[in-house]
Amino acid sequence: MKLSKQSQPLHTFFREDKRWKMQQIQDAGNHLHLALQLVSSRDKKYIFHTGAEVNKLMESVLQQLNRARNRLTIPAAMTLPDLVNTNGAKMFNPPLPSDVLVNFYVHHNKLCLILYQVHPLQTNLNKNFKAAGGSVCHSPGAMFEYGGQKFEVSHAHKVESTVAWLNQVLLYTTLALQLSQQLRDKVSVFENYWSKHY
Amino acid sequence: MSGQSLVIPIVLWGRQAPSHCVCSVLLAEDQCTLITGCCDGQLCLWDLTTDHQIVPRALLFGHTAAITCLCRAGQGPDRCCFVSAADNGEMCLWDVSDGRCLEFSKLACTHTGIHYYNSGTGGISSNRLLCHGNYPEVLIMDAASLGILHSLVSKISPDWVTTLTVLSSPGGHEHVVAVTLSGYIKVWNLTTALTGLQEGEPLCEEESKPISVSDCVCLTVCPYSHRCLLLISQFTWRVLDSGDFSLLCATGPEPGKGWAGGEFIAPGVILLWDEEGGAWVYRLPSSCSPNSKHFRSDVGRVLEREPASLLYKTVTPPCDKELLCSPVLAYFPTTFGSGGMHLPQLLIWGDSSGRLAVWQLPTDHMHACDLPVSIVTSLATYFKSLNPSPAGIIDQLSTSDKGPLLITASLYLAGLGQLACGRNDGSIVLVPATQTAAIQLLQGPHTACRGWPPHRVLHGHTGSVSSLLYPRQLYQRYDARWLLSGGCDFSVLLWNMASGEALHSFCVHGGEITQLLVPPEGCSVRVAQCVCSVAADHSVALLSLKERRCIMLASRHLFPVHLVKWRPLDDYLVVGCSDGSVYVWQMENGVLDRCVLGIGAIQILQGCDEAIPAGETAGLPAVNLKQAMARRSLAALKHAAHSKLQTFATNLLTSGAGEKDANRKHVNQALLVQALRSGSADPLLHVLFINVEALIIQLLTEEAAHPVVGATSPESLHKAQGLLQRSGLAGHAIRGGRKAGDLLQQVKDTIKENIKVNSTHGVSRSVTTQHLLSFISLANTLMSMTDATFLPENNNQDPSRSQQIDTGDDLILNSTQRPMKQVVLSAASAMPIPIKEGWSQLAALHCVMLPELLGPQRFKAPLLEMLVKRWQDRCLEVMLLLRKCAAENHR
Repeated sequence: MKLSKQSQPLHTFFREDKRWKMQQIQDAGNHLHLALQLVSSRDKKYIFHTGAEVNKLMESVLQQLNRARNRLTIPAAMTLPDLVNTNGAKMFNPPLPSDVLVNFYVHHNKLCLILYQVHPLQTNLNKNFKAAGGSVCHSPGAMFEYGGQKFEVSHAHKVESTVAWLNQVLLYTTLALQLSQQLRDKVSVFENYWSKHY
Repeated sequence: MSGQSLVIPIVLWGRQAPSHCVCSVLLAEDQCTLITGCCDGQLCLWDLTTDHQIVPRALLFGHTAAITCLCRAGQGPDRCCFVSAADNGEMCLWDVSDGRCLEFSKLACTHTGIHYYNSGTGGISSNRLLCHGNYPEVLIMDAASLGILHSLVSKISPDWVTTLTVLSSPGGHEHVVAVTLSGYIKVWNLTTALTGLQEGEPLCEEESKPISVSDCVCLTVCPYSHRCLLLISQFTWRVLDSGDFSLLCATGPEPGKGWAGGEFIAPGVILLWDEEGGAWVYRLPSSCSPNSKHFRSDVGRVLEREPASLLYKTVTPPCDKELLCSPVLAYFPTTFGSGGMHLPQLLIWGDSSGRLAVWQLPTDHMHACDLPVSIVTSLATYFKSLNPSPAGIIDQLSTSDKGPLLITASLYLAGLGQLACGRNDGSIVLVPATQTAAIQLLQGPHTACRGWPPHRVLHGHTGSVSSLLYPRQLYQRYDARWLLSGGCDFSVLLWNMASGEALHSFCVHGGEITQLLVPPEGCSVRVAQCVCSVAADHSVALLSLKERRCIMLASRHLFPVHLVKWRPLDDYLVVGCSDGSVYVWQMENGVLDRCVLGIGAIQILQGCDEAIPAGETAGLPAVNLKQAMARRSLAALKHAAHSKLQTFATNLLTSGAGEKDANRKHVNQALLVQALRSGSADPLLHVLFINVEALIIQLLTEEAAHPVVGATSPESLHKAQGLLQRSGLAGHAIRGGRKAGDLLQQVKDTIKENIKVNSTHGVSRSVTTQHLLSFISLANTLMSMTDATFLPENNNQDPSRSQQIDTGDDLILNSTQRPMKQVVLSAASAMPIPIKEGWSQLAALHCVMLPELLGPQRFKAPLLEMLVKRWQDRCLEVMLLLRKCAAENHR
């Protein structure tokens, strides 16, 4: 997996010797693992005695599935100083210039790379300085302060690449979510009926 | 206590105990308080008495999601506190003795485990918490502020940490040993992290080693030798050498059994428990004992050897009800309690029916047969054992023999002073709130007669009532007579409150009604006369009250409807579902505009909040609050007061209400009734918030407006009556308020559900402080009034108000402690003496004489910090008294 990025005369590649850890994918995988663990926690021969029991189990399964999907569909909103700290620029060969910030994340089935070019603000011209909050994608003009110096984003470049298996993951997770919810709804209908009439 | 005004909460629990599905257990540092966390986010404090009884003390509301873990957060008897973490990333620091929330923080990620660590470096002991959870680091937090100090990160295959323990090595260094979800064992040098690092600097691991075990649930170090580690995964358990993690003893998987945890309970003896709640005690082979010459003799060929030998197992407590989820077990080692008392090793069980069971492990670790349970208790059995049983707010209005009907929905109509309660038989009761509250709290001749106070019952639903709405309370545009109710029979009924007739029945949903909402200002004329109903079949409908029909049904949602928001200017109804998707519907024609997921959904929801024009923002908190109240969901209420989480016990809600009262224009509302649901399927319990400040203001205005008692002209009498009627709320609330102050004991019976212990006075110092303050300030106010008695001969204008100085004083007797009997008796019998004197005596009793009468060991001084906080109270009465109290206390 290699992406190249040209912004003006800039050429760079991902470093071969370093692996970029995609925390979102690991988290999503772990949540799915927990969901699977919950589902398989009961023996095949186990007989559920009450609807409430099933609902309780399905509730936790749904929660884990939902979190797994949300990890992929909702990337973390990063503030610009956060991005400076993550040292994303070091992951490239040749290294990126120091005025470039990198955000690399998964959004749905896409792998997104955003490069921000920043320039320092003059200290006497910061009357309308307003630090940008957390956001997935900052627009040019966003300002932030790092190490006592104020900066402004001058350009933001975004590259996306579709990952086919992420699409599958999302599809199956969504299907699992819907099935679990349907099971839960059906069980609760009977559960309510049962508890009210017997 | 962050609320502006002095508010007293009183809880009416109802006959049925809250369902408390225990998912976490902790024995506090003081060895006599058990803490349980439940799936609905509440915490329960239980007193472990010396005669081996477990008595529930308080139910703490603070979290909005299931509790994931509990951990002690301090050392020594003076700082007895604990930390709780919830599934949604919330963390609270609580004081064990009075149930106050001291600190609150919220992170985006969930903690699944917290370990307490005290680093006693250089004579300064600092309390630290090691947290791990659904994130790849281990966070070191300060136990007092819950701020993150350091993080322990991994270079090699970082993953979520599932369990960790602290190991002290011979070199004096302490190490954190952790196991990740993917099966790596990792070691960090804790001493370096705590001493050699700048704040916020991450520390990488020293060692990382794969172990062929996945799904680890528990890792614990032998506290006796520090040479063995017990590693438990779902299917196997192993004993490792803590030096190089080589395998000393292992078991193969046993089908159908999932291990849940374990501990070393003696050198070479381990206790293991499984997901079904059974516990086994094993003796490890000598190759696991560092003192034996066979130590490590089996390394490399462990699996052929006979594993540990079973010593005994425990008998699981009998189950009368099916458990909804696996019970949790926790082991607490032997400790030396106060006075050198030797407490046994305890194994504690908590399950989904709110039950606690305790085993005392034998000291010689030999037991011929299975170990029986020594104590079993639950909230339900405790509630049953109470006499009189805990009061519900309209208990006296039920005629059934099987105990009162359960309240499934309730709504306090503040403007009318009425309380509407929907019950599980489908009937709705409308009753004056103060009067019905007074019945539960006060004793008097009227309490005996059923069906008092006068009330109205609306029959219409065939299933239980699930939600109630009085639209006029929120917006003036609705007819004042309209009351809506939604039921489990899928219908929404429109009532005429004045006549009690059902005007219309809307049957558009295919599931139980879960919520009834009101569209905000700014909608089209047609929508403005609608209410919005949400049902369990994931549908949302707009029901026009004027046209008596459904004008829009949005029913294509795949997941339960989580929240409903409005974009009145764009004519959009925004529905948020539980899976995070958002559906945007056009209100006028019922067309689905779009369906969004992910970031887009979050942005749309945020946009709804921002879209409200600037002019309306002032009213917004109140609107949110009202909607929260209308929905009667604790979560929503908390959301409205989200900054207010930092309070104690039930007072959490108090301060929230206090704050919101301040937001609202009419501050002078002396009584507020809020219904709460502890679990999603539980009947409601009610909290009465008595705002002492507002009460005093009301009393004083009443006093000022009162004609002189001597004036007998019919005109003025009439006027007075009118006034009294109008301020009836105040009149009744006086009693409520007085009660609150008076009934230290009885009130707490309801407020904190627990009171049979002798010194209830000290259940919670903060609550007591508040009670004392309000009581004395009220007494002072009444003292300054001309007509401040409830005696019939002095106040013949208002029969409803004149019931009970006698019973009231009796209650004071019962309530406040026995030694005071004489004093108060004299006060009561001395009714002929000027009334003012009676009140002043009462005030003095609480202000000055209480410490002497109770004796030093039972008297708990009011919390000085709380007094100080109120030093500049807005209410002069409270302020004056406070200074007096503080001075008295200081002396």
